[in-house]
Amino acid sequence: MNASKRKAWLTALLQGALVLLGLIVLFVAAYSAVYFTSWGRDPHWIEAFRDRAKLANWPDNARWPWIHQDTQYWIVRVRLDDGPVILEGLPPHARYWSVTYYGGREENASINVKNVELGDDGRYRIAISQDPLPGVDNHIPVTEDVGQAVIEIRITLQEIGEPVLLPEVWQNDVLLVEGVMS
Amino acid sequence: MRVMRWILSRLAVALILGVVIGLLVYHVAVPAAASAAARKALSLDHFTRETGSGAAGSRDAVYFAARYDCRNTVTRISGEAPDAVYWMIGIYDNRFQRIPGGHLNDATIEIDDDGHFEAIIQQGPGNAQNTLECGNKGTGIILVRVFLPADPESVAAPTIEREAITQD
Repeated sequence: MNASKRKAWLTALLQGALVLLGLIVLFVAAYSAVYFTSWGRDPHWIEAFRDRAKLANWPDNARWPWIHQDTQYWIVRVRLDDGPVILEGLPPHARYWSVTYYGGREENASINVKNVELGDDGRYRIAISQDPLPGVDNHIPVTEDVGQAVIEIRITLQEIGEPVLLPEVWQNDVLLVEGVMS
Repeated sequence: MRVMRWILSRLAVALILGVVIGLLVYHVAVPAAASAAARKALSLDHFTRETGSGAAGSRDAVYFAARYDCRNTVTRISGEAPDAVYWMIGIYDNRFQRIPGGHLNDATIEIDDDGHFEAIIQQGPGNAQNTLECGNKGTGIILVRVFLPADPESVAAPTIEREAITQD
């Protein structure tokens, strides 16, 4: 290969690298804009393992690199600065389950299979808020500065043959997310 | 036409470069970075109790983490079965992915009459009740999760013994 041909190839390679860099920057910027501006809009339950390859779930799944087959990790994105969130549903049929949230800190109080208080109808109500809410037996405290948050339900060793139960999510008397029985 | 050819050829170069760089990141850079971070934080010979942000979860859980290296080595993990709602031992590769066959929990592991368990990390399959099969993964992380222990402070870390495999 003569010098001018080699130079042409190297130039093409460099220009291709610049195009790639530009495309990556564009993708990251567009993705970040959509991800952060859409937070809390149209929230729904995501199964962290099963849905991990979906483009929209990549950033959230960065929190669950160590997931394993005994546990289902269900998450929903909410805005805790819009008001207290209330979860209401039937307890999962499982050896262990818990509800917690991630708001930038990763060690949180949780309501779980052992400490949950159920109502007379066998359902639980959990408030995720700065202060306990009257009439809601279970409370997960959050700090004032938490805005975007991920609520997580861990269900470990789900009983075979029983449906997976996920709670309704309410905020300001509005049903944000339907409960699931699948 | 010439401009179009220029654009398409540069896009093709960008695509090829992107695939090559992506594969290098996934297969080389991520495992190397994860392995280096694990070497810095964790030992091959003993478990580290993880709390706070390292625990990646709520206060319900006690986690223990260590590294394994199953290249020409068998790793023996033993200890007292925790008094807890649930516990497990799992091995992960250097991309933080669980390894099929590398998972035992309190229902599947063999616990003796004294309440002790012993699990072995080795390349090949062994006794299903006490083997964590690392296959050809080489190195990675061991995680012990204990959910809702009766007394979190009294949960003891399992011990690790490593035996070199001699080639005859």
